[in-house]
Formats: sequence, structure tokens, C-alpha cells
Amino acid sequence: MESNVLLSVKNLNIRYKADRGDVQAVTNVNFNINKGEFFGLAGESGCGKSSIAFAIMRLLKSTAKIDSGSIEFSGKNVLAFSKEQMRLFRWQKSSMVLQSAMNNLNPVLTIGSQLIDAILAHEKISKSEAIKRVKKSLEVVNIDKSRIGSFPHELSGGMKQRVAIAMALLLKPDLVIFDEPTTALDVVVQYNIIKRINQLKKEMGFSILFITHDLPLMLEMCDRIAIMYAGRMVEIAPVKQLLNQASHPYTQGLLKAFPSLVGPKKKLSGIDGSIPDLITPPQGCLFYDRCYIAKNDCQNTPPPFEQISDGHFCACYHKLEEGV
Amino acid sequence: MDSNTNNIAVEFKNVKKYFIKKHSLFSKSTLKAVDDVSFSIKKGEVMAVVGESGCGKSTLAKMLCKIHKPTSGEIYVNDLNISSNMNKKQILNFRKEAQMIFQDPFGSLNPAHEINYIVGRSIKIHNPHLSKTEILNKVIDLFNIVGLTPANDFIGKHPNQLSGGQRQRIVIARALAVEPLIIVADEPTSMLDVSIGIEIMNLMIKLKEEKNLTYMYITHNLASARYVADKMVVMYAGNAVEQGYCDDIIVKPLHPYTILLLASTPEPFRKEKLQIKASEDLPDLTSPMNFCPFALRCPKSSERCEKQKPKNYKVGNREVKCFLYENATSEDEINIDISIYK
Repeated sequence: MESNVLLSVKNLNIRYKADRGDVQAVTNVNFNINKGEFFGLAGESGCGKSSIAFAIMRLLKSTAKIDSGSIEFSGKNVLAFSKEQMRLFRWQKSSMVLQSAMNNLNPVLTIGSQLIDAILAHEKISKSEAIKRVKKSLEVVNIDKSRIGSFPHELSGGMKQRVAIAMALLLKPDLVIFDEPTTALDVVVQYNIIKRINQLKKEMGFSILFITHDLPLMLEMCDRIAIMYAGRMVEIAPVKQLLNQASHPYTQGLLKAFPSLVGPKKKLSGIDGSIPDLITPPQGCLFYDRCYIAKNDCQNTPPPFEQISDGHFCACYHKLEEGV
Repeated sequence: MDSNTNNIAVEFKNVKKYFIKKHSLFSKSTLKAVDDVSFSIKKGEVMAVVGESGCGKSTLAKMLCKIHKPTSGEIYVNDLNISSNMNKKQILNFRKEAQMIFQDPFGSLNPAHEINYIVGRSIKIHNPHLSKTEILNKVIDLFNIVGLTPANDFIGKHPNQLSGGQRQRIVIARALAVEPLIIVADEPTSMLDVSIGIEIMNLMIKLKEEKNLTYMYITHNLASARYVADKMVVMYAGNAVEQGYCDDIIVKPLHPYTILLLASTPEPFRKEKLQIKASEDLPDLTSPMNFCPFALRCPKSSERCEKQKPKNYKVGNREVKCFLYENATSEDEINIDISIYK
């Protein structure tokens, strides 16, 4: 039987070199993304979520080092790919939309020529055929095909972001990584783009790794969500489970920190304290200092990331029983 | 002046702000950033100004702080007309009344100065008779008030030694230093992580309760407006399209744009999902618009909407700028047919 897993990240460790020493940005991260799945990766700034995305595309900066672990894509280890294999992998198998993707378009080239470039770099087809494909892909993201000759500055922020999405989908990849694709956009624009992404996913069947700190958005969109804290995975669960039975105190804290539009108004609280120094991380659970259910045993060794029910993983010695 | 104006902190009366955009020597166009906006904020009240980028909400804030002068209309702060010409001394006195908290705590603090100097300087400018130790004591008090404890540990630090949340607390301390009547907060939490941002909102609420502060809270996030504010103004393309109590508006939005905004806000706990179809671009603010600015995007627009500009219609406790509510008097009568938005 063919496996349903598209991407499998195993024991991933990423370090960044810094003046004071090495920053342990990602520690022992494990997760899978299934075919056709909308997988969310959430966490606050500095938790390592973008490092993982860049590691999958092998676009980490030169100061970063992957110490151990593997990233398997359809059973093949991406980290062991040769340069040529990598060239074929990028964009054709896995593509990426960045937060500022709209500013990553080349200002002196028309969007059409940039999109055509992306096709011709990977496929041996005639230019007229490429133009046809580009026009079609612009229509897919609700941009009129007559805009093919427009320069980026002639488009609004939302349209540019949709061009970036069209570019990511051009070669029909199996995995599309969205790294905060809508954070810089207005809510109405964000809503339209997200709706479109979801439709396209259904039509084309690709998997999505969706990275954001906007938990409400993620809870509306994703199938499964992973929560990271200080470079470690703290919880993975299907959305419903996470909403009703978040088990890690950090996840609970995050869920409680978002004001809601419905229900009675209640006083919310943030999470006191800040992320520990990842150059000299504490021995035990990294959330110990900020955790309200911490006990003495949390200080000795970090809690293992283990399954607590079907598809629900959590790294905590004193898991919370009830949901928010 | 009648007696109940005394509890009004800020009043915008038919305020307009047009910017002239020069294209070349001979051609220019007028950008209507704020077009005939009226509302008032009572003392001790939090008024949220909600809308997308380019809707004029920051221009409103800047006019209230006398950074921009309105093209026409009047702004009253504590019964003082600040849109008129003022001399230097009057302006200095007015600066004490309205203070601003900015969006970016990394850009709004001078990196070359110690934070106690940054906060102490505004005390010194407005209270020149105070001695150095008196100022320092006041700064320490302020650090305690905004939750930078133990305050003595923060004396002598530079902004780069603080986290984003701590910097935003310094910005709030600086605003409080002159004991203002109103604080204008322009997206104060949008650059912070959620768990930090909510603490800043809680601090703002605490200060409001303890010091009877008035806020104009500018945000694009309806959920945070509901959390912090009592009332809200929804802005669209320079117009205030709906205003009233937050709870009323969020439970039952009336203006089609408010419905669109609410439907676009992600809310996992919402049972019934609003859906509305509308294109996403703001209209061109430089074109002369004598019709409803939302008409081109509105699923409920009629011929009249594209010819005539609606007035503010009073519906119960709120005002709505939409012909749909021309003859409505109370909210209970209105049954919005949400099905057409689906």
C-alpha cells in the first residue's frame, strides 16, 4: 500500500552561529504532513517555525547548521539531495510563498515574464505554451489575464501576493509552504486569499504547510495544527481536538490570549515571562519559568513528545485534562 | 454651552482632511483621506476606530494630536477648538492633553537615550520647575504603574536592552508622564506577539479604570476593539460608515461594509459563518465621489447608491451611513437578510 505521508520531518535540529555562542533554534522536531493535508505550524516569534520551512527548502542562511535529523519527501531525504536534485525539487515538488512575497517580485520585469521564467527554468516547452499556462494560472488566482504585462508596482498588495501564489502553484507542486502569507494584508484581502487557497487545494490536491502566529485564522483553516515553543514541538492535534482539549499549558495560554468576537466578554491573560535564552537553554522543560502547573520534576529533563490519544501528541509531564 | 458637554473629551465635527497630490507642475489631484467625519468621545470612554489600511483612521489620529490640520470642520478637545490657529504656548498646553502610542515600539523610542531620560524629558518639558530627583521619582512611579518592575532595574537601560512588550510599556509611560486627558493608541499591539499584546491591552484597560483615561484606539482587528473599547467607529474610504456601541455592532452589524469586515475576521468559535462576496480594493480616493463609497463593492447597492451620497441615519443607539436604514428608527425592527451575503 502506498503511504499517505508526503513529508516527514524526523528529529530535526538546527543551530545558528551567533557571537555569544550557538543558538539552538530547532530541537528534536518530529512531524508528518499527509497528502492533501492543510497542516498548520503556529508559535510566537523566535520559536523556530520559519527555520523549519527554510530547512525543508534548504534555504537556510550560511550561519545555520542542521546538526541531525532528516526531512523525507515522498520517502527521499531532502537533506542528502545533490545540487541538481535540489534544483528539480524546488518549485516542482515543493514551493514557497513568503510573508513579503509581494515585495520579492522583480520591480523591473513584468509579472508575466517572471512567471514564464519560472516555467521555462523547469520545463522544456515553447514560450507560447508557457504564456498560455501563465494566463491560466493568473485566472486561477482571480487576476485578469490582461494583467500579464503589468509591472508589480501597478498591482495592489493583495494582487501581488496572489501573483506570488500563482507562481508557487505554476508547476503543480505536491507541497506548498505558506510562511505568514497574509500577515501584511488587510482582513478582507486576507479572507479572500485564504478562501482561494483552500479552493485551489481542493481542486489540485496539493498539501499545505501553513505558518502563522494568527491562531484564530489557523483554527478556521487547517486540518491539523502543530504548536511550537522555543524551538520544540509542544503539541500536535487535529483542530477540533486542539480547540476542545488543548493539553499543553502553552497551547492553552495561547488560546486564551486571543480576544474573541463571540461569547461573553471575559478578561484574558497573556503568558508572563519570556522565551528562555536559547544559547544556554535550561535543562528541563523550556516552558518551566512561565508555566502555571509546573512542578519540581519539570526542571530535570525535557518532557518527551508523546502520543496521548489518536493523532494527538503533547510534550508535558502534567498534561491538562480539560480544554479551554 | 449646555451642561452635558462637560463630560465630552473629544468631539469631531464634520472633519475633512484632503491631501493635495502633485503629479507634475500643472496637474494635481485631491485625495480625500477623511471626508466629513463626526463623532464624540466621552471622558473615561474608549472609542475604537476600525477599518482597513487607507481608510483614514491614522489621519484622524494625527489630526487629534495636531500633527495634521483639518481641511475643514472642527475638533474640540475639552471644549477647546484645536483646529483653529494656536500660539506656541497654547500648543504646548494642548500637547499635555493628547498623547500618542505608536504601532512600532522599535521605531518610536530614540535608541541613543536611556529610557528614564526618554520618559523624564516629557515630564521636564511640561513641569520645568521640578528638580532632577523629583523627575526621577516620577519616572520610577511611572515604571511601576506600567508594570516595569522592579523599576530601579530599568533605570539607565537603553531601548535595545528591552523586549518589544517592555518597549511598548515605556511608550505608554512616556504618554502618561504628562497626565493626559486622552491617549491616542495607533495599533499598539499589532507588532507584538499575542501573549504580550494582550498584556498591553490589559494595561490600557487598567489605566482607564484607575485614572479615568479616555482613549482613541485605532485597530484593524474587530476582536481587539471589542475587548478594549466601549464604542467604535467603522471607517471606510474616509467615511465613518457605522458608529455605536461595540457590543451592538458586533452582534448585529448593519452597514454592509461592517458585515464584510466581520465576516472576514477569523473566529473559530463562531457557529454561524457570515459570508459576503465583495471585491477587495478600496475605491480611488482621488476621484470626486458624490455617491456611497462602498456602492461599487456592495452586494446590496441600488441605482440610488451610485448617484447619491447617504447621510448618517440614526438607528437606535447608533448611526449608519447607508440608505437601507433611511426609515429605520430602532434596531429591533431591522431584520437583515443575511442570505444575500452568502
